[in-house]
Amino acid sequence: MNKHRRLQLKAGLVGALAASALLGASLVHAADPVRIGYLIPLSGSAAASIGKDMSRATHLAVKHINESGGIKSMGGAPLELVEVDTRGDAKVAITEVERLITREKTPVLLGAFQSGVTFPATAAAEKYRTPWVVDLAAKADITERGFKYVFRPTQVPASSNADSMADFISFAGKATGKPAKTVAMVYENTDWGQDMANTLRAKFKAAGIEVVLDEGYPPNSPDLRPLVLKVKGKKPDVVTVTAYAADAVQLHKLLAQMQVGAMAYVGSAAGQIDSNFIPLVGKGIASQVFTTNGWAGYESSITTPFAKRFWDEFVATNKVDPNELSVSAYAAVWVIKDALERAGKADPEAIRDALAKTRIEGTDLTKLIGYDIVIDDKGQNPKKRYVMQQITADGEYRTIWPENLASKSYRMVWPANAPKP
Amino acid sequence: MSSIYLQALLSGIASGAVYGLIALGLSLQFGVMKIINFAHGSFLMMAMYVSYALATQAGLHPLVTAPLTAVALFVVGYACQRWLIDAIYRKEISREPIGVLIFTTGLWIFLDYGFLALVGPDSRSVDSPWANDVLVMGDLIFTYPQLAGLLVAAVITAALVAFLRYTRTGRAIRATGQDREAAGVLGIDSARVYQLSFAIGLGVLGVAGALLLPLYPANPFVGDIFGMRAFVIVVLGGIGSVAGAFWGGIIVGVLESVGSQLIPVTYAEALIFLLFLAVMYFRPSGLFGVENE
Repeated sequence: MNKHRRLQLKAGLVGALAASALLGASLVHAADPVRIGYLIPLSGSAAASIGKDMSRATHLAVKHINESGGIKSMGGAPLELVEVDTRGDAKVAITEVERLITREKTPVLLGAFQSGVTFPATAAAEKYRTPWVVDLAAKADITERGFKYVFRPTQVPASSNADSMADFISFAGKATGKPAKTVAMVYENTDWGQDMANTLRAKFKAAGIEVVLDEGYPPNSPDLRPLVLKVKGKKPDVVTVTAYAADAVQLHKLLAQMQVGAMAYVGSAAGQIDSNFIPLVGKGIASQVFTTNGWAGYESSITTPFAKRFWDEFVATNKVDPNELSVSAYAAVWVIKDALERAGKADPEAIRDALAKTRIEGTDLTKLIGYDIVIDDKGQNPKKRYVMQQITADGEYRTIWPENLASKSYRMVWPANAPKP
Repeated sequence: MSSIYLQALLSGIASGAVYGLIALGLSLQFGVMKIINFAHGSFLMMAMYVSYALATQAGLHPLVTAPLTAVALFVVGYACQRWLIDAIYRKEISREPIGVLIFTTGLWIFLDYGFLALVGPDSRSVDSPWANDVLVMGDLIFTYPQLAGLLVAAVITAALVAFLRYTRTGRAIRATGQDREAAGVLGIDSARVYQLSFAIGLGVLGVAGALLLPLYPANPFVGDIFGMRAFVIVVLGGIGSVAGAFWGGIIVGVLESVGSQLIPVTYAEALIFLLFLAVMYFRPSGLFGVENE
């Protein structure tokens, strides 16, 4: 009896061992996932709502890449995000970079949307010789430090955004015969805001447009009314607004309430294209606001099944339309995928070398984002251009400039009608 | 051009009155209990969300939510004092209530991140035409929330001053603030006075939150922006002085608004804190406070 049971036990053990050996074998064959350290602000004031938008798109890209067979050169290895919340705080981000590299052993990093965070955090990653794909941070100096491990495929320096703002204002004047002679520049007093202001100032000077107010403000101010009053006192033809969502909402509301009466309010993407902007300011105030955008929108970009799949699934899960931020976040993961295919292994040096040779031209991906990706020797993709959009009375963004990407169903209104609160 | 300065002055008074109302509860709590409530900004944030919920879920006018938000925050304040702060306070009866200070700091972080988890990071504001409607008087433009803020803040401040001065309960609160032991000897139950003071402080803050919501969207960290300002105002106006908080708020509002017309906005922000430092140095009891010595 006893012996019999022991035999049974033995047989059971052998069976279990065999099974686990089989399981083990199959595990060896399935490739280990490639882990991507992902830094993004998910809490902490203004930037968090953009961070959330971007994070959803990043996760969607990982899902799509994994569903289409992962990294084929690595035996179909799936991608895995190790996501951390930077809280918009550079100190947090630097600590997390070190943890991701030394503890989590992530061979490549992605993020971190904000310039003030990305700039110091990429320096930490450079020290550890770990490649970093910058998703959206626009500070010019990020790719101007001679770093070997920092790549920016889906964003151009802030100055390019400001270039488009100033170029458009000149264009609109010529196209309609109603040029703007004076401009008030309002921008948040941060790295990004000042970068933008420096370029705008120089461009307006070159174009002969007088800057009647040049005013940085501390972000998240309790009351922006005094600033808007100051704008009103200068009676500018055009007001440029460089702000994130919370401040942009306040500023556009106040510009309407205080009846500043400019010909046009021109935003610098960010706040004005945040998914919260139109719901919070209301369609009356948002209507005919101009804003640059790093992406030309549905009409110009969703032309392939690849793009349609992204659009449909993003809308289905998030209930909002994708924007430049989500498209760039989505594309940045595909750039990593492209590099991993060529690297063939999850090794930081190999991935770096592959990223440095990135050349994605005329593919489904570039049709979605509207520009090619060719990384130069600074790690920058210089091919991206900002378009200008105007918000319709129905709260839709329509591309109006440059002319080759302009909407066929919407005509620019310049000067814009006074916003109605 | 001069109309811009007049507008700046009047707008500054209107914004400042709401700042004052935000600071009022903090000043009362400090005056009576000698505790600094670091969670004050977070309670303001809570009030804004209560008002938001009432306005959007129950479809109430933003102004109608004010008394209801006040009642809700009054209850929160009473419960908070009775079941949380009182226990810590009692243990420190013989020394400075440092434990309460640390406790409210913890509460501040807890509430901010608790709300972040609960409602998410998005900014929310009331979708009421009233909030954006303007009243045009010649060159001057005011929004209704601005006018309502000024009016309600003035009335509530006056009512609270009268309550503290002329009612029996009000006098008991002031007596406890001046000398707790002497008040105790005279038969005043200090624990009840504390519960009431803390609850009144938050009740007033409830009104402030409802008034602020049409002017500034709510997010889980909105309290940090206004809470810091409230501390400055309390010190400016004189710690413990209810009327002082109101006038302190108006000084800050006007300084910010008119100052911004003359110097860069970023400096105007710094100017407020410069005034704060100067008052701390030259007149620590505040502009409207009474010297203790």
